[in-house]
Amino acid sequence: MFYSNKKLISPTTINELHAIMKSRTNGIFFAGGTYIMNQQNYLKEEDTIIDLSNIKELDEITRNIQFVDVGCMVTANKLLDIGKLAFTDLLLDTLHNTATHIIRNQITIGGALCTPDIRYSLPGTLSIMNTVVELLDLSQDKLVSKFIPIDKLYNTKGELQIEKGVLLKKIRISLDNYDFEKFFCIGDPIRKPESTLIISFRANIDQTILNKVNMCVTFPTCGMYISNEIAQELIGAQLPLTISRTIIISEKITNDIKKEITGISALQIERCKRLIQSILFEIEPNQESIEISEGLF
Amino acid sequence: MIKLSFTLNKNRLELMVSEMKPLSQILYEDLQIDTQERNCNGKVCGNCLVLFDKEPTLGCLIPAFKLQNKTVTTFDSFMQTAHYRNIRRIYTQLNIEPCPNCYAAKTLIFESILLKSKTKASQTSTLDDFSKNFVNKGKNIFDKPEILAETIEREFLISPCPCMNSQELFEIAIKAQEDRIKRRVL
Repeated sequence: MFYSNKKLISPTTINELHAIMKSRTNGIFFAGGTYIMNQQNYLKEEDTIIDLSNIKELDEITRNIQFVDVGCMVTANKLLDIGKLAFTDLLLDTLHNTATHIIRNQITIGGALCTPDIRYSLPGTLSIMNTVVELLDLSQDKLVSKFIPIDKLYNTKGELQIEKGVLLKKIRISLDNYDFEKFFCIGDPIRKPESTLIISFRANIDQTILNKVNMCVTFPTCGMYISNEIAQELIGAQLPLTISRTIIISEKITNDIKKEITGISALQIERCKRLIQSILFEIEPNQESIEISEGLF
Repeated sequence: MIKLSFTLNKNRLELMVSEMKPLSQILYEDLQIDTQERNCNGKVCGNCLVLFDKEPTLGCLIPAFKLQNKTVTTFDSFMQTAHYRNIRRIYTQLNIEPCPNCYAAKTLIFESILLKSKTKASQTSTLDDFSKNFVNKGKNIFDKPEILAETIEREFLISPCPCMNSQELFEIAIKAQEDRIKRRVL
């Protein structure tokens, strides 16, 4: 059975964890456990469970004017409670939609980002929020730390690209404000990930012109789609977008998705097209900046 | 194997089990408690809910090593509490109750929602913060904390048994909350 006897180690500091990982190649990090406990054959006989819950450093949230640093062992509920004043609705909606309150108590941020083969809503939203992650290479003699953009953690199929012995220590969420944000999660990502579709979208609007667009479409079992080209194409567009323009752009995006990601169902593609159309159609000129500019002249 | 020491339904227990054995399996196989679902093989059916350190948690997601020095309350023990009697009263009053398959799980989810709304209200400090947690912002601070239909729908996604509809779930939660305030069930 998957819960047959395993060696368990519970380090209390990063240095202790480093010492353990240097001597072991078969260590499996255990964060919240919501993924591992669901898998029948995930753990192998020789694996050693490394419980990260006793390392205080990984359970910290710090904030300055520009960003918030969130340790990998912070739970989704804790981030949601603390982040209410700091984060925009896009991230709060994403956290709300990650799971029910009961499961969110257990889901950790590191765990949600590091599931090997399935992508939930968090990676997509964090990718468009210019989030970077700090990776700690624990397999080297010296502790090596580096920051990389979160979307570099995954390939186009959405598979995790972290090597064994590397720990996602924390994420750094930028606190930029955007004028228009939308989050959609259609389907049940935990029970029916193969038919679920998740879209995170945000844009900056200067009077009647779109001047910054970020969008990520996530198909939990097939991959993530982030297109800079199409975002570039939308920059400078006059608002509100016409129906024909929204149809052309959504067609372009879905054709691009079909080319880049395999295994998506026709239903997911159709839903994706319609949702993108509705999002684009909803973007309205920024009245606040229009009033400011009118006041100036 | 790990030697565990934890409190189950107010009784201190010591047990030798595999480190990764889920709590739901421990309850069924090692402690012969069979009121809840044994194991859904990762389908997150929601039927193995227990109170883990007073927080509703799915037993199938808790490995044995996490139980060290913790408190677990199963539905059998929860049934002895005033909180259960409050929910039970509302079931009878409205003549609606969950089916036997999901009775324990749904009742514990109601408990989770009611506890969460209570915590929310006690956490808020200023009058302005406080008012955000109420349905009618114009009312004074002694009004009841808000329970949203949206929250109810989302929380009950964990127990997909279709024996009750959203309207019924919402009605029970609201009535149970009112009853708790009226009878001062803390």
